[in-house]
Amino acid sequence: MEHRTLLSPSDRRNTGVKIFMVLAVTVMVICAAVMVVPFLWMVATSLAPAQALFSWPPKWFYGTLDFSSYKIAWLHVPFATYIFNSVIYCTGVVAGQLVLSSLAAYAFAKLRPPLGKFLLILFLSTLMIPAESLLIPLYLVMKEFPAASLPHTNLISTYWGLILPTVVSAFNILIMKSFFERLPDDLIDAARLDGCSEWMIFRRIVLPVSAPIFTVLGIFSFITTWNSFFWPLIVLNDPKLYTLMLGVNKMVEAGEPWNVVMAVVTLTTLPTIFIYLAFHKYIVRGVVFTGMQG
Amino acid sequence: MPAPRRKRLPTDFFDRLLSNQTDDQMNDLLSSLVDEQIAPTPEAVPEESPRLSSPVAAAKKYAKEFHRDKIEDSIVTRDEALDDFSGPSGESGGDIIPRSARMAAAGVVMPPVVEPKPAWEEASPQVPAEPAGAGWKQTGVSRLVEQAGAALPGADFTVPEELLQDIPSDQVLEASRPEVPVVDWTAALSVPEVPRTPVPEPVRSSEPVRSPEPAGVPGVPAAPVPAMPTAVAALPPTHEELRRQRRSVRWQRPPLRKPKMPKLAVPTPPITFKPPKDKIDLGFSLDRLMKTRVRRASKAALLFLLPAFLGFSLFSWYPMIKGFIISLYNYAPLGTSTFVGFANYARAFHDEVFWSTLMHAGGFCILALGLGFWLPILLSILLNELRWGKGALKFLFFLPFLMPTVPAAILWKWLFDQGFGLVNALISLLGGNPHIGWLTSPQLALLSVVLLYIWKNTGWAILIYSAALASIDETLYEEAELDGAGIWGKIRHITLPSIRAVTGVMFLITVINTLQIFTEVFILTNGGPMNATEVIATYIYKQAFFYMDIGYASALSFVLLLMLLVITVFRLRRLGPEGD
Repeated sequence: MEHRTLLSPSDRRNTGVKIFMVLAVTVMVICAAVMVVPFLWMVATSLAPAQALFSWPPKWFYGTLDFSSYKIAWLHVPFATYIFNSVIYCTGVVAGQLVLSSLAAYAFAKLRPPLGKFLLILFLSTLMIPAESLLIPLYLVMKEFPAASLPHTNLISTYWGLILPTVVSAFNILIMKSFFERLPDDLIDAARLDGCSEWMIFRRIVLPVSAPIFTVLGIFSFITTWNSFFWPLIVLNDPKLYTLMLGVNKMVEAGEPWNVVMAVVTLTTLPTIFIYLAFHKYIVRGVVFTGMQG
Repeated sequence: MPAPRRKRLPTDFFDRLLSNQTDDQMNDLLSSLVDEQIAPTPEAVPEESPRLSSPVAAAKKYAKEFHRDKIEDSIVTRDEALDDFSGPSGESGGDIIPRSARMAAAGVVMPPVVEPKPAWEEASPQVPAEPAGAGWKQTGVSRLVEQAGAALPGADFTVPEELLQDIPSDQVLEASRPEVPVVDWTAALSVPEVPRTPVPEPVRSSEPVRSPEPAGVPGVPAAPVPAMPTAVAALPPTHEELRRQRRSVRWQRPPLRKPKMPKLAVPTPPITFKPPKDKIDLGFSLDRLMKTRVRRASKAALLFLLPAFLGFSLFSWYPMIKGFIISLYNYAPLGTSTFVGFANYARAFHDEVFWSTLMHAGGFCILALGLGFWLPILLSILLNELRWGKGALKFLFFLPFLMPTVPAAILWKWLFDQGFGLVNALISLLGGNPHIGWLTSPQLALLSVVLLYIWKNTGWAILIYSAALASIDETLYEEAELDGAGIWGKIRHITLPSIRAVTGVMFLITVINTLQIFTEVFILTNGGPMNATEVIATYIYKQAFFYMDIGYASALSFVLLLMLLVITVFRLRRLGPEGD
């Protein structure tokens, strides 16, 4: 027996409901088409010959598939560099976030630090600060890191400046804390009696059992970081350090023809869809989880 | 009444009665008692002892001893006590039906059980009042004896002593069980009411006044009336009062119910396993060891927290404070900054462009909510009704969310292209104006960005609403159908209220996201045409990095922070305690 929904079996036999459902399916298919047609148009444009772009009315198919735009895109846009930068950026952020958040969350959940309650509130209150409003001051901080009165360096346009401000995440701490709280205390006490140091307990006992939460949060923050645009735009001046999103935007600003641009866009979009298909379950869970949590 | 013929019960009477016999066997037993004409007891029972007091007193004594034994053993667990109580022999552990009821069910015709004496008789000194034994007459051995007596009209039994020595523990427990407490209705009722007639009676005395014996209840001793604090004398009871009193003394059969746990003097200890710490010689104190380890852990916790603490202070708290301080300066990156107080904020207050960015952000928010808020709710409710193709449709809806914002915005820039864009091509197919400047006309530009936003985020919202819909209890729908709700009624009264919490959160998320929107606007229009789509974040960016007015940009950032802070606090409060 399937989980029943709003419509009861007798509702479903009703003629009016049947007609309504047909209409509803039509509406949904139209909506889905609206969602998908831009993607098809993107691919169609990227495969169209350059001279066909300025014909009216535009056509979906111009007789031949022209892959030259992809070739131009690959040659003009240093994809390898951008993707390399993006991967470094994402890896650094994900690693930093997971390490910092898991350590802090474990301490809050199981170790009873002095002033723990106060520190937790202090950490979680950063959830209320919108990221966008901190970017300008962060830029100034990164320019003279850590502070102007101390010996400082300029982290603008470096990987450090790119990665460091994003490695703290109160949200991850919140979720990991609720995960660690569900681990049994006996496990940790037993290890304590056996003479494990706290670090060893964390490393050898807690980490192995928390793989699922690390996976979900890791994938999720990887995608968020991969898509992020504002902070790289502010902090990076050197085209050699551009992340993929920034590089794509710069290339469009440079005024390439639309078929090349669409080729670039397609190449940028495809990996994320593959990643989604590969980690489908985790991503959906993460999206629902974060959405539910706010 | 003729002199009662006393009969001696067979010694195994109780054993047979209490052993787990079938109703037919019980019936046979009772009728055999009648048929065999049990021989009268040779010895005379002293007349002064009340008919039932001695066996029951013995039973109670036995019960007390039994309890003491139990206490001394002190290993009675709850289950054992239940076993003891629930049945005569182990095999019918769950039998809780009183024997009298079973007899009645088997068709043994019995005159009604001897009525319990009303409260005033109970309180009379004929039977020594026992604190916990208010209901003992109705229980245990005595009841059995009464029943047997009632089954053999005219007969009167005494219970031989040897039987009482051997009363099974369960019966004793039952005998000692306090039953439904007998309410002393006369005492409860005799609280005099305020006299209805306002005419003051002559003052008699301030001593406790006894109400005259009610005429309708002969033999009822006058109930003590509490002393009246005032000088108003108690009136003789009215007719209505008397009737109520008479009605109230009528005996009410205690309801058949599952017998309660017999109260043991010592509560059964909770079954917990405590490791015998002090008995095993470990060579050290386990307690102290644990304590030191925990203390060590809480010290280690500080080390665990240190990186996150540094991170938060360097990248959240410090920038916030620094941003506020810089917003008070006319900041010059290279030269010397001058302190200007709140001049930057005052400038923002008089800045028409800043006000227009607020207007645009608000308009964006309203458009996004008006056009895009109900859409995912509707679509997810419809999607939930589909039997097949649900997953595929959901994936198609979700595709735009998977696309990173930058390529999505670039793609829509091409779709909205005035000369050769797909949107205009479709409009011309439908016979409209083929050259609408979606991104170049100030009236439409904001709407275009909103369309991109809705396109990108609907799938995400559908995913969340679907999860919320899947968690609705299906029995709610069934109950609503039983109550005659139609489809619309079910949606209105069950579906929407069930996902209300999620809708509220989504509403606030949309507000927050649209107020700080940057990337979409930056790529699609960059604030143009003629500032028509300038939003707060793009304006801050321009102030900081085009006009190099970092002090002013910091002030604007701080205003944005305060605005969003208010909304976020509201959101956290809506989320409730589980929000943090």
